[in-house]
Amino acid sequence: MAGLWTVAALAIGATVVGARLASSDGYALNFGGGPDGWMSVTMGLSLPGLAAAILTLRPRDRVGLVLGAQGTLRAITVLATAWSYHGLVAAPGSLPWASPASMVGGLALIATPFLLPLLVAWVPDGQAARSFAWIPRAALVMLPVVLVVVGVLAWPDQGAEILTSDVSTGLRGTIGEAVLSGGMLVAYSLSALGLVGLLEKWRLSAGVMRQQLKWVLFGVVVAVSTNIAAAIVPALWMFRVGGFVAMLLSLGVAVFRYRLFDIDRLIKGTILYGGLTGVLLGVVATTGAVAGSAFRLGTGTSVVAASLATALALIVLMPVHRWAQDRLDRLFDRGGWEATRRIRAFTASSGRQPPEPGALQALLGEVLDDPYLTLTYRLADGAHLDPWGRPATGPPDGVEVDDVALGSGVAVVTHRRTTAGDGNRLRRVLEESAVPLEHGRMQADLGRQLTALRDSRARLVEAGDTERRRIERDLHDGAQSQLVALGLALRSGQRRADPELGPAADALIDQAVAGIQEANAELRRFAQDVISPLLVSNGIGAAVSELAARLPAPVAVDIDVPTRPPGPIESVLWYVTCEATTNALKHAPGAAIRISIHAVDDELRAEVTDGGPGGATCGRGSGLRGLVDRVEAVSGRLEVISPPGAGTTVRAVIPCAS
Amino acid sequence: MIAEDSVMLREGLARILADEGFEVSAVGGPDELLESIEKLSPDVAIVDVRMPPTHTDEGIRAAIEIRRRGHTTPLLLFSQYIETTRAIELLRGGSSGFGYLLKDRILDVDDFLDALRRVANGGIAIDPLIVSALVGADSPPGLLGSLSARELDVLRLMAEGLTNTAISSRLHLARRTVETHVGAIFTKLHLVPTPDDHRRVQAVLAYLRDDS
Repeated sequence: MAGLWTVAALAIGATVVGARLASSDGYALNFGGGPDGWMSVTMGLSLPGLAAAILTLRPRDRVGLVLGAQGTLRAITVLATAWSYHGLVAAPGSLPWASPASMVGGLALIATPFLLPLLVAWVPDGQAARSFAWIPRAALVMLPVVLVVVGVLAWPDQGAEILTSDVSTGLRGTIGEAVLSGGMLVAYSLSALGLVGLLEKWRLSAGVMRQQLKWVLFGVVVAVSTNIAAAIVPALWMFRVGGFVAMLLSLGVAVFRYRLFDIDRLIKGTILYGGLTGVLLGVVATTGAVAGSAFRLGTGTSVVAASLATALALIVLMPVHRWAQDRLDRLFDRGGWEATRRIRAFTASSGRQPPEPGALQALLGEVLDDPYLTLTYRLADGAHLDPWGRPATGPPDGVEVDDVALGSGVAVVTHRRTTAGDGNRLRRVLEESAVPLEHGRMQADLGRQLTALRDSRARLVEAGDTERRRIERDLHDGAQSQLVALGLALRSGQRRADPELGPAADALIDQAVAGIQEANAELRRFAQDVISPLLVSNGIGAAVSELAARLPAPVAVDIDVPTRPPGPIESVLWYVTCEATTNALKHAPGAAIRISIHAVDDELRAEVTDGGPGGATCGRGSGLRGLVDRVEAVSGRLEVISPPGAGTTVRAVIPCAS
Repeated sequence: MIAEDSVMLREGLARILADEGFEVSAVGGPDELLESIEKLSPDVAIVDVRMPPTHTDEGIRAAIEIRRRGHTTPLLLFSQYIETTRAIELLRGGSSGFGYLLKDRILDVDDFLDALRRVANGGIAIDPLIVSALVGADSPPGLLGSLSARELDVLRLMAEGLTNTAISSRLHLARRTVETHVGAIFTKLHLVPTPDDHRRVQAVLAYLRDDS
């Protein structure tokens, strides 16, 4: 590591020494007057440090190596060129090796363009896109060929010729000139192709890599556009340096701190506001000119013209801004644009038709490409619920959790770590989802309350059922037994009594006993109404068979329930059967009735079909309505199929995990 | 032997039976019943269907268990409500005396004692209500529909366990007439007549059960 930084320090030092020497000689280090000198100085100062930092972090990183090579070559160029200029032109003979130094500097400079394809192809992870892997190899093959041809065959005898003119025109012979020009052309073409590869890589990338590539591309775009600007307006040559620095910075960010800024916004903002500034300037200038001449006022000085221009610009810019924003989103962040669009559509449609609970979780998982994404809600009262209102479990290990504050409570989004790599997308998606999230929270809360209500209804029904069973048992063990015992006491008194007591007393006792029997029969009927004792003792099969045997109509019974279901469910099956057969007897007297109760998978299905006139409804006030309540209280559903003229089927389907 | 969990009822029944000259031993639950049957080998056991611990069908289960253990002790079950399925099983399985009465039938003491003695002697006594539940209330299905009203009356009494003589006195008919009805019933229900009361009731009930 120390060696790395020593090399970097040496390179930077060489650049500083070279730059100072050149500036004191009034030499622009330019091989003929371009801005290359300043570029070399900039690179010689900045790249060695950046490369050392990258290589410290990731030893043998290809990007770091290429940047380091570039920086070192630039440092060599600066020092060697300044050295030779001083020794050959400014103060001839004052420095040793001035002539070879010009060759070293020139060749170092010539080598630099061949590093560009390497950088473009390998950034940011050192791997070239699959179909572009040949680019770095081609550049590395071309480099020595050009260097040998130019350096050995075509280098001029006097370095001064090179230093004061353009490199290629200073060369000896046309072969050198041609090879240099051709080599440069190839190097830049390879770089351009590498850019295409970079785009390809970006298109296929995801997560961290995508973020890094965005930064890289941003830097490239800035560098290219500032270069173009500098090419058009020579006075803006400093733009080239600025653009280059921006590219370096973005490269550094790409490698080190890719989550530092919202790159998507930065890219879009740069393009958007750069473009809009141009449009604005155009509108203001045109309006000012037109208004100025129309009102015969001096351009730019008129308050009226300036106000008009500003107003017009604003009017034009607002829709343009929206439109441009949308287009740019779509262009640069297709996934994010798509995600935003889908969430907006979801929000709009939930206004018309409430979404299923869990639909939002599924949508978020889809747009963030994370099938394991979960969405839960922490309510103000501390409850932690899933979208259906069930108690949520804590997030599993290895996931990231993002909290989104809602109007009341918090939405908790757990997602894969890689989803966070596209972190800005996640944040934007969640911001966009504020309304559906709030809606989801209310839905979860409602779901919880609904569950509580269902549970309480089920408990009520169960309590009622238990109470009926208790009443029936009390009747049997209490009142009925005591009545019979009382009767027995009377009878034994009657039998033991003095026969002299006479027939009148006998008759009275007979009457009393008959009354007791009547009362007992009454109690028996009452108990039967409360709950079928047979259901309690022997289960649904026996109770229904018994019921069928007593019905004054032909009844077919088909029962297949291998294990006795829990009491409340058995009771519901019983009431359904009783009520439906009672209805059948009432509305379809004499018609054949079929009762079937089956356990199918985890469900119990009770079905009562009659061959009557049909047309039954489940309306308010009918006995069926009460059945619906009972069946729903045990989470089942009741169906009444009763087409006019085609009989009636009452079907209850009750979930029953066996 | 009486198995009944209600103390008042147990004592009342025991007193009546003692007055009638029976030697009575009473227990309050199914386990004691099984124990006592093994120990005492009573002439007949009166068993309440609902007893502790669950108050559902302990009596019937105890009866099945008694038969399973090979005891031929005649059993008279009594119950507060009408239940046929398990009773029929017992009826079919047993070859010795069996009765099944509603509880308040005890209050018609003479009829009850008759039934008890019949069962003790290896006969049959089925409560009329249970019989009519089996036969069907108004319009009996299937083959029973072919019986005349009088024949149905006779069939019910047969099922209660009455002999032809008892039936003739109950219905105020000549014995010969009753025998004719019985013959007609057997013919219409495709049953081969035998002189054995118990067998014919069993046959009738079994037939009814299978048919309904």
